[in-house]
Amino acid sequence: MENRSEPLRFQLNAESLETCGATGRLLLDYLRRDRRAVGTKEGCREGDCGACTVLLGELLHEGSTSWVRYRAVPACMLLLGHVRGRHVVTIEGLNTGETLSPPQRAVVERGATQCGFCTPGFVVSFTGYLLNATGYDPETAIDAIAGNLCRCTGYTALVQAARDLEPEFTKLPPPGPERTAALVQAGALPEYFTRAAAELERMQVNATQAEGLLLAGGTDLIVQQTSALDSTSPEFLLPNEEDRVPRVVDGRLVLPGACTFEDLRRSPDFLALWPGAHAALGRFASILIRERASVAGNIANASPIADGTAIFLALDAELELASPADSRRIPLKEFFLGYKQIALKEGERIAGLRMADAAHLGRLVNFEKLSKRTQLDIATVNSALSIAVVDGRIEALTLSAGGVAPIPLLLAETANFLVGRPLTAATLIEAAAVLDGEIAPISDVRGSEEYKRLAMRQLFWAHFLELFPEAIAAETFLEAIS
Amino acid sequence: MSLDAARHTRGESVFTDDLAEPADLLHGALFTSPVARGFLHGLDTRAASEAPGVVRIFTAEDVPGENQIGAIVPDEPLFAENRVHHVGQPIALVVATSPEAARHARGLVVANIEEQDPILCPREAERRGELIVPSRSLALGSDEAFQSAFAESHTQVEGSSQSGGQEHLYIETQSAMALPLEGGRMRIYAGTQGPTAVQRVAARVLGLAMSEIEVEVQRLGGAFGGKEDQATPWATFAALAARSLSRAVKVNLQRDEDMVCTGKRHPYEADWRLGLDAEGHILAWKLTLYQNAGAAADLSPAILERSLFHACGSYRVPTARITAHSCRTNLTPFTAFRGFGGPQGMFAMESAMARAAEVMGIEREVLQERNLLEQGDVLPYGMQLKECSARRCFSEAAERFDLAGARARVRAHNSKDPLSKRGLAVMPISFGISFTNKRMNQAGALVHAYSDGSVRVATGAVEMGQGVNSKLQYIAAQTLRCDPERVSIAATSTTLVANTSPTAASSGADLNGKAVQIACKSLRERLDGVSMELAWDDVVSLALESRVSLTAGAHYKTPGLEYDAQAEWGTPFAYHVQGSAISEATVDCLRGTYSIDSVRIVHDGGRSLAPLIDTGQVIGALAQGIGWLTLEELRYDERGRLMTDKLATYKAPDIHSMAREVEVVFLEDSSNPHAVLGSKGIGEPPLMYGLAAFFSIREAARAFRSDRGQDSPDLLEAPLTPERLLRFLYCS
Repeated sequence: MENRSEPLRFQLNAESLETCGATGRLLLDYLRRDRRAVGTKEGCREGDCGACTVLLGELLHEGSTSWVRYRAVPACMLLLGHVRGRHVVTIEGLNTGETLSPPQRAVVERGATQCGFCTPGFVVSFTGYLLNATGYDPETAIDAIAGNLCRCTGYTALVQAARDLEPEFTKLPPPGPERTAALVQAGALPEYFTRAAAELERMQVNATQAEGLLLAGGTDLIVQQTSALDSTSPEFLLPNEEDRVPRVVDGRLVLPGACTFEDLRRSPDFLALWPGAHAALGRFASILIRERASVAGNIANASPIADGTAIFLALDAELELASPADSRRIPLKEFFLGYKQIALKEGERIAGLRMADAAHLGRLVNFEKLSKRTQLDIATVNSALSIAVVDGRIEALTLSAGGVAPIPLLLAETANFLVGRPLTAATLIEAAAVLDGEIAPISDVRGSEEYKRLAMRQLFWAHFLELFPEAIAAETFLEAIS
Repeated sequence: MSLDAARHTRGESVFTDDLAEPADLLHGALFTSPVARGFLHGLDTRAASEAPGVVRIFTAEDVPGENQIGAIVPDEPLFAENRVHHVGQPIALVVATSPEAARHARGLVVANIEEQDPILCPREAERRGELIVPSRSLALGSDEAFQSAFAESHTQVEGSSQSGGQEHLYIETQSAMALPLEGGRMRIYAGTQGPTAVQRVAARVLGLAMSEIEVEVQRLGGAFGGKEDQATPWATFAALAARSLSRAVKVNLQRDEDMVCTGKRHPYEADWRLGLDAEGHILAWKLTLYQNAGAAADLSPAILERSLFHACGSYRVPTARITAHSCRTNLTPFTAFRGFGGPQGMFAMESAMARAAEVMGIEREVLQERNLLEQGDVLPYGMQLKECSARRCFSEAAERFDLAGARARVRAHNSKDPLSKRGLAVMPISFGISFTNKRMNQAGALVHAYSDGSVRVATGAVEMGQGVNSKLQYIAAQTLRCDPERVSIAATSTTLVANTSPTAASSGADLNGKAVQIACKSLRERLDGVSMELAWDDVVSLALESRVSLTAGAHYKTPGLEYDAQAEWGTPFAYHVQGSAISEATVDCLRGTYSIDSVRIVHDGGRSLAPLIDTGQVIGALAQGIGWLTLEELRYDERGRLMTDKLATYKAPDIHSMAREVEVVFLEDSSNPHAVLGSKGIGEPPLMYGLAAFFSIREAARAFRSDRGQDSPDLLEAPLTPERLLRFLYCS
């Protein structure tokens, strides 16, 4: 299983490459050491700084045309096997002759680069935004570079650079071959981008079977196991974006296991189910990680503070588990057996998630999260709620809590207490006491036990203050807790 | 704009780990102590030496010269011997054919260590007499005057405050590559702010003359003080192995290694008492500082000194007793970080001022304004302020940014929403410029004009993003009267300019710029002797023809510096940098989270050599100051192990944590007779504007409690994390 017979083909910048090395090798190491593409910097090897950001392009077919869709992702979160049949673009591949591209120019003019170490990553993220944005909006452009850390500038100049680019890119065709061509025309991309689709077409990629580890995005595993993976060839799940998007089937919303959190955030069906999802999911990791992290991985990892899992629990999701021979469905809440223990049998994988679609959910949804840094951080505690209130009475409710138990917790007792009761401060005071008895947080690097208990009480109230401001006002809350 | 900017955006700028590698390059990985304190009884490297790719394993026994890297105090071995004093202390260097092989084998080294209970708390260290150097005290006013000032005080506040450590988080980790040259000489490419320090220590460890070692630095991917002395061991390890194996060796730390093994900003604790008269004028100030120095001196004594010098903030203090202890604990030695002890001293003073304002029932900024330093004031270390723009900056900020209006808006907001509170804080700064070690205030420059009219400038300054090369280019072109494009700056090398000070203390452009100016002036005078009329290229060419030297060297030393450390009296600084910031913050009192809404600054930057660069320095320093006090938290377990050892657990500001609105205005018509072309040092002072953010959040949080009729306990522990804040909001 070490070296596959079939060589790995992909495109790196303007070049088509073939390698027979181990597919478990970190793309970052491959780029810097084997290819000497040293413009891609190593800052953390855990997807937290964005210094190694590259564009990853995958071939999409729309009718008779095919084109390459690019996403900005960290090269330290990719193994070579992830780029099979894809187009990897490093900073070197974005340079357009002697003249600077518009993002490069904006960064230079604003003094948005000081030491320069993080700068290539910012330029790649900016360029990824130009390729993907539905229309140029400075605020979303800033979100697109939010996964990149800069320790020198204090970001103000980068924000200004993002604003400066607006007039130049207000009128772009929608993402697709014409967008790519327009960006080549504008000097934002080198000319070879127009040929990338044809190059990838030529590389026929066949899904091959391999023994061993099954990898989707790998955003957690790669951080933990880089050196162990380095010389191996795990099996890669590489569905294209078109096969990763959530779909409505018979009144159920079905998320493929490989659906990434950015796929989910772009999904009109998911946003219909929960209109607050776009903003809430924007606080999961960074955009660079959300483009890689899969919903199945978030669940399989069984982290007690997984944001995605907290949401899916509150949505009463069901898991579809598949093995070569069989498939079965179990409620998500039954999947977590203990700390990092899951009900996955040998040979099984999480094929997908199912939940009520927007037409059938009939509940309001809210998600709350506390972390040390508001954005781009792992939760200290989190909580999700789905609730139906009819005539002032709680008719249905599912409540989850993360960071307060060894597993992502479904607060069944609290929910039992609440269902059927009137939505009043008196009810919530009692329910908060039930909740406090149902959680068992421990002190760790993210926070003390005392803090987590207090925080969970606050988040519990926050759900209701957010969703029912008329029934539960700020004053009501403050009176209730004093 | 920066000389390197375009290259940076194209990914073409070369950092140490990007240098072309020799084909037979070897890689080193450090085996470091897993325990904070103990006796090292033995080391088993058998399995590691047999691991694939391993070439050799080095320990203390393999040091040909002295196993010692301490710069101020010789108390830090390169390799631990007999004892270990902190987690992450290097014990062995594994050299192998690839970094993976070296790291794999490093994991097979076994140390036999008898663990002892570590000392982690600076106060405990002080009680046990574990001091790095003898404690130091400043005294202003006689004992009698000091006592009676307290006795006559209308208001006295007494309390404690503490500020945490801070990881530098330069995005480029520590990195060095050593190349053996003929005759046993050595070239070291090191990611260091102090190439001379690397040269000196490597020579000492290798038993070579300094002249046999060349150290070269192209640029650093961020440093902030973290590559001043802390870059030295990695370069020395590479040199040691390269010398012994006669092959090139690279030592490049991964992020987690860097976070565990390298020093950070010092945590400080402070006990204080402040006495004021009925109008709020400061009468007396008593302060004791406990510096957590970690396990070895590193730069701690110098940092301690700067804390003393800045412990009165920007205020006129007539009588004072300020004592500082440098406490030895079993943590990785703490080190230089932008501000160099100054911010910790100022934080103690601002904490006391905040308390005093609360007790007196007046706005904090009223009290601050009343006590601002003035020209002619004598500071507690004896220096008289020759120039002082503290009041001008404060008034200009108050007017330009409508402080009164902002105050009124905060009050109006706070009367509306019980769960959303705003706070406002002003932060005046006054920061001394110069190395407090007098001998370090000198610099050299070497300038060559070539026959085609191009010019190469070499100094000891290291480019790390602060734009010093752009400033040197400007100074050279200005002085030579040539097109700036003809002037390029050489990579910093100990061979071109010797015996240099590290690029630090906000003095890189001051010192090296002056040396460049002097060199260029003498070259220009020679050229003027050849012709006053000819164009640049022609005069250079004619000078060569006329056998006039086109090379000039120069040396500069800062005049007027004199400090008597016994008497604790004198003039340690060439000048001070002043300014004022106004910060507004909003606290979500349901969730205990906050956002910095705005920070607006009037800064006295003298006559800026490069306004875009200086604006970037102000904002970048501000962001680090905000991070230090509101977000970034070092956490250790009870065994002294760093728990926040990766970016997943240590959080520095991202684009969304920065203040939403930032405005920087440079004080008009300012100049500075003490630095090159009227400019002022810019690197460190603006970091202390971050204190405004801390105190604005604190004020908002207190508004929530006072709304509810609750007394507030002190909230003077930084960083003010969401945990500290939420627990403060709801504590009984």
